[in-house]
Amino acid sequence: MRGWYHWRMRQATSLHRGLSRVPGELGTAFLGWGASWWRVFHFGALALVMALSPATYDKENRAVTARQIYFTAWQVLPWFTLLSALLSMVLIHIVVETTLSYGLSQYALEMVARVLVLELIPLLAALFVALRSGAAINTEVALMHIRGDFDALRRAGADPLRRELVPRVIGSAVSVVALATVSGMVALVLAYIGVYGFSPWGLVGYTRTIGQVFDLQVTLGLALKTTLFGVAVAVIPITASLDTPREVRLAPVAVLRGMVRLFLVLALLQGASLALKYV
Amino acid sequence: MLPEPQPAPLIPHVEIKAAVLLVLTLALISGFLGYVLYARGVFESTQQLVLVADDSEGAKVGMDLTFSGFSIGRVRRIELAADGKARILIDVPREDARWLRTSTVFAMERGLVGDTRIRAYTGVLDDPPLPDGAMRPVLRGDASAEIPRLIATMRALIENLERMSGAESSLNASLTNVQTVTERMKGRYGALAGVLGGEDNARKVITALDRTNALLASVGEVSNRLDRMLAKTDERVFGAAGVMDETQKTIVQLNAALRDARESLKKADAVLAEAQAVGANTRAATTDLAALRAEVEANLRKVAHLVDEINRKWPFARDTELKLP
Repeated sequence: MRGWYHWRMRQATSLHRGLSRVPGELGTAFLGWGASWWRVFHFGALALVMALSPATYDKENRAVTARQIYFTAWQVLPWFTLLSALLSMVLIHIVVETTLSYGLSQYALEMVARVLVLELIPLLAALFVALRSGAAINTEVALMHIRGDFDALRRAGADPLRRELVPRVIGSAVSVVALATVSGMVALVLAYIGVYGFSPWGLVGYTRTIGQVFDLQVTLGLALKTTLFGVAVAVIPITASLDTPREVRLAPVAVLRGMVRLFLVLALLQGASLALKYV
Repeated sequence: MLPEPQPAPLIPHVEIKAAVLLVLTLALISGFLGYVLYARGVFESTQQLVLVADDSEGAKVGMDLTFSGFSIGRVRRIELAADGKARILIDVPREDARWLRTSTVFAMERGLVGDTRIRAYTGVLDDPPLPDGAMRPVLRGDASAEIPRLIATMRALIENLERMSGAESSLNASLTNVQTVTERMKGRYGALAGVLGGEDNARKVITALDRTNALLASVGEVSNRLDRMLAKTDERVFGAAGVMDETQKTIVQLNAALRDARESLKKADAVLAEAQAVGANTRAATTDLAALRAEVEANLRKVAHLVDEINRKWPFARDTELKLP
């Protein structure tokens, strides 16, 4: 920890001392930045391909993947659903009351569907999984990397990518998708109750509004966004961990970089999806 | 150094749980997709309706066609036709197409807040149904397009109001006049002074009124007299032994006279008939007279001849020669 601090300080003072070296350093930094992002995309593509190929799922791998899904999704599903239901209820109530007071109650349902189901709940699910599992994955992989577990696995004839990393990616992706789906459905049911109460006669209007909101582009965009969220939540921390030099004192740096990058990517994805939809 | 990794704790039925979660998620997703497809009308059989508008502004794909507030169709496509008009293609489920008739009117309305709406108004539901692929014009009712006009009108109105309420405005002058009049009205002669513009005039009017009253009283007297006179006349004319009674008697007598005259005329008629007969006899007699005359003339001629004969033969013949001196 101390060494890391001195190293950062040295870097800072050297930057301060030699302004003439700035362009060179900037170039190196940019190259390093680009290379690390390239590794993110490369690893993400690799993980996706492996996740989609049936050969990945041999008996042992299946067990590992199942365990990852259990840890990242199964364990949190009830609590997250409860949390998001509570949040949805509050938001639906606010929206319905506000639109009612402005005489625009006919737009309440559409607004709830767009704001909650399309935007907030996937983002909330991704953030929740990132906070809970992403950080854990980041730390775990960084420690395994530093400890040399992957080399040991490789020596034992097992592919660490397939054995350890891809199951984590699958686990987090499934987790985000499952959490977003279940919470989204709960939010839709709550929206019906919030707008129409427990009467069954709002179903025709409800169906019409849902049909209007979820057109082809929006539905595909939602699926793509949620999947990308899920992949990013595992891929970015793992890449950040593998990027770090194998020193124990650098493990926090790995976690820090991974998490910052992850949140940046989540924000960018969300922004891009909004821009595509509404700009 | 770092602690060695411990073997993962055994979790019961982990694979089954993972599978259950996956299946649940997939079922939810596919169920929702099916619901959305149903909501978007993929499973309905539809017929097409083409609305032609001058301006498609505000219309968008996926918006509803409403009838009495219920959605009965959905815009599928909006395109620009060759003649520069917008064509709005609408899918109407066959089940709901019965609300659309040949006489249905379509209107595209744009409120100040919210979406544009396409509405259908069917007045006569007994008309023949709208055929598949029918093309209809759509009327536009644009609230926001009315705003500039409304504002211009309002500005003119406000200017007028300002002009009317200004210090030198005619309205103000009228009000001043009204004030003067009402002040006059407060005087001795009340509203009359206000109307006539002064107390002198009002006094004259009142005097005139008094005179008129007196005049009316004498007129009343006159009419009373007239009444009495009329009553008397009535008595004289129509009463017992009045003029009318006498007249009636006269008429009766006249009738009798007339009857006598009629009888006299009948007698005269008979006389005339007799005269006619006499005339006829006279004519016949005249005819005999002519024959008699001819006879008489013939006899006279014979007598003359005889006299001549006697004269010639008579010895005492007369000297018939004339002796000239």
